Amino acid sequence: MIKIGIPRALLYYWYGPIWQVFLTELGLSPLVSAPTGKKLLNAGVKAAVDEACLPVKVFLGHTLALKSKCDVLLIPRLVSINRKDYICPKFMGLPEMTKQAVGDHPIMVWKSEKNCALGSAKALPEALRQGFSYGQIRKGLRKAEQAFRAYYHLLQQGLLPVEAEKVLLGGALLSPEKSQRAIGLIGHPYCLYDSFINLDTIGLLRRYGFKVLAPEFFTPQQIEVELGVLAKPLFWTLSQRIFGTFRLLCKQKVEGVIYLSAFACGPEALIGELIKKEAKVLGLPLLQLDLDEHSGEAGFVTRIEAFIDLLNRKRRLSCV
Amino acid sequence: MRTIEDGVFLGVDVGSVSTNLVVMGAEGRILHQIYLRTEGNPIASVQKAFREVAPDFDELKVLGVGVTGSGRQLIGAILGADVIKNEITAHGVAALRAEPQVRTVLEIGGQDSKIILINHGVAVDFGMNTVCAAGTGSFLDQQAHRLNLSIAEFGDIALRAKNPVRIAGRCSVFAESDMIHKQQMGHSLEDIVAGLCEALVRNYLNNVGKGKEIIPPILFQGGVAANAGIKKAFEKELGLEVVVPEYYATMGAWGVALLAQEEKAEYGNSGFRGFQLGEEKIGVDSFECVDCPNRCEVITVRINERPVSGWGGRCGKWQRINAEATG
Repeated sequence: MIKIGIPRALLYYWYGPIWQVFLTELGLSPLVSAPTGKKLLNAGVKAAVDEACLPVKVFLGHTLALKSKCDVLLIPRLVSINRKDYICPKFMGLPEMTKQAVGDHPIMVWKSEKNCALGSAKALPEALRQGFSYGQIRKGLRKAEQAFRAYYHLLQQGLLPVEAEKVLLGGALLSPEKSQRAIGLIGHPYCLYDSFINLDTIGLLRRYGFKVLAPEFFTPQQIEVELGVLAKPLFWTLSQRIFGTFRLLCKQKVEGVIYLSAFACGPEALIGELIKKEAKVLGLPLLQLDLDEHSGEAGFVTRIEAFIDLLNRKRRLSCV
Repeated sequence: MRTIEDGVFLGVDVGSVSTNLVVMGAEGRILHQIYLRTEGNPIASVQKAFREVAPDFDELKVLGVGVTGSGRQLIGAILGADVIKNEITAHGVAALRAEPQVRTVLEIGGQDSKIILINHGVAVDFGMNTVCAAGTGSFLDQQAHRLNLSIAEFGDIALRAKNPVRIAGRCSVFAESDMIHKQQMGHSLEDIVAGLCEALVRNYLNNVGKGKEIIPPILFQGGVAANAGIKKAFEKELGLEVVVPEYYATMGAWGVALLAQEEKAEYGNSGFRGFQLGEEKIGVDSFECVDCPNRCEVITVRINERPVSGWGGRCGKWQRINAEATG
């Protein structure tokens, strides 16, 4: 069976499980890379150009880790998934950057299409379109579309992508967290759900007894409504999600919000300022943390601990 | 009224540059404070501090021990601390005790600097310097060394300046070359030193204090608060009065002693190992665990050749030593 390597990085956390369903339906064997680790990260940093952001470096690390284990790598080229807004240009150049990293290892490219989360048959890699009949492809896409809806339903119930993926691929349904206290976590999905680069922030917050609410818990329609307050539309799809989620979290009565941003991310340099202003207006405690490859654990955990203390002391004072 | 016979609380702040210890009475007052240079060896400096206080205090009952600072985990494990807290919370708590009305805390230590904003007696926001240590005590130490001054006289020299020169403070490497340039141009030592103080303050306000609203009363604490030149530079830049509290250098240690007291009001006995630990043989091993691709950097601590604590692993298996040692 042909093994297709899928890097567990970037928008894998949105689309990865769906790609797996689709490929399996066609009788191919999808192989997802193991979670990020130190060795993988180091390899990615070495393979990337200097100006690449940390998540892109992580992505390249995953492609290198898969290289010897699969026949062909599946690399997405995401340009725009909604009308009039865009995914960062670095995502556009992923196939080229991957070629630089993996040399002549075969890759196939999955293109995004406007107004369509998964893409139609036209978006599929050339090799798949030629290798299978139209009927097979149609059937596969229908299955994938169903899986996509099921996956997002699970995320909106409060499951993490890694948990939702297990359920989707046949695992038992976990009951979502029931903690009374809620904290918001915003950022790009690949910053929030890669527990290596963020030193397991979600795990840490859960151990402190918080239910963690992230952008993936809200529907695109809910987010859309919140964007109405902006003087002009935001160009980047992911920035829109961050901004919209932040406003929704305020309404959900979270005690505070932690924003994980990626070092050297251009769009986040702008959206970060917008969020800070919004936090001031809404009076919500906000902690912004930059993720970089130097994994300075001490400073990172110190800030989260201090932030939780701040929330705890504030709460205690308001109870008295 | 509680007296010293009721027992004391200990607070230890293990920073990158200094190690501080306070002995606090049950009513929250500082009975004794020690300020030592860490000199790259947190264990040895803490042991030294305990040897210093042991003759005066080892008869007293220790009700609780708190540890803060960048070395808090290591030292907390060695002392058997009841509370291990980050330095931001500790500094905030001490500042509120020193000045209940405080709204802004400026704290500059050896390698890090922070700002804490307080409203109605509770911290509402904070900031901390990132990886760069340009606006901190280490930077001043280095420049004092280059000017052949002791750090103690630095502040008073700055106060004598008539016309502080403008020095680039964004990066300590640039600041150094800029400072040498000003020396070669013939500016007086006083003006250069004062210029350095102003550069550090600008750097602090533009990095750590970026976007934060600074409202009086303002407390300035941390080791660098000893420097009158920096205090003056802050007042000049902010146009507001800046107060240096009495125990400015040991506020972190005091804060964590207060936190230990808070904690102990609800729980039982202290886990403190005792004052004799100043004399014990304490060793640390560190290694890269190769059991999985995470390659965690693991630390284990031995006291008198018996393993007492371990950490650093993401999977939790090295933390088991802790449970075995106490259980």
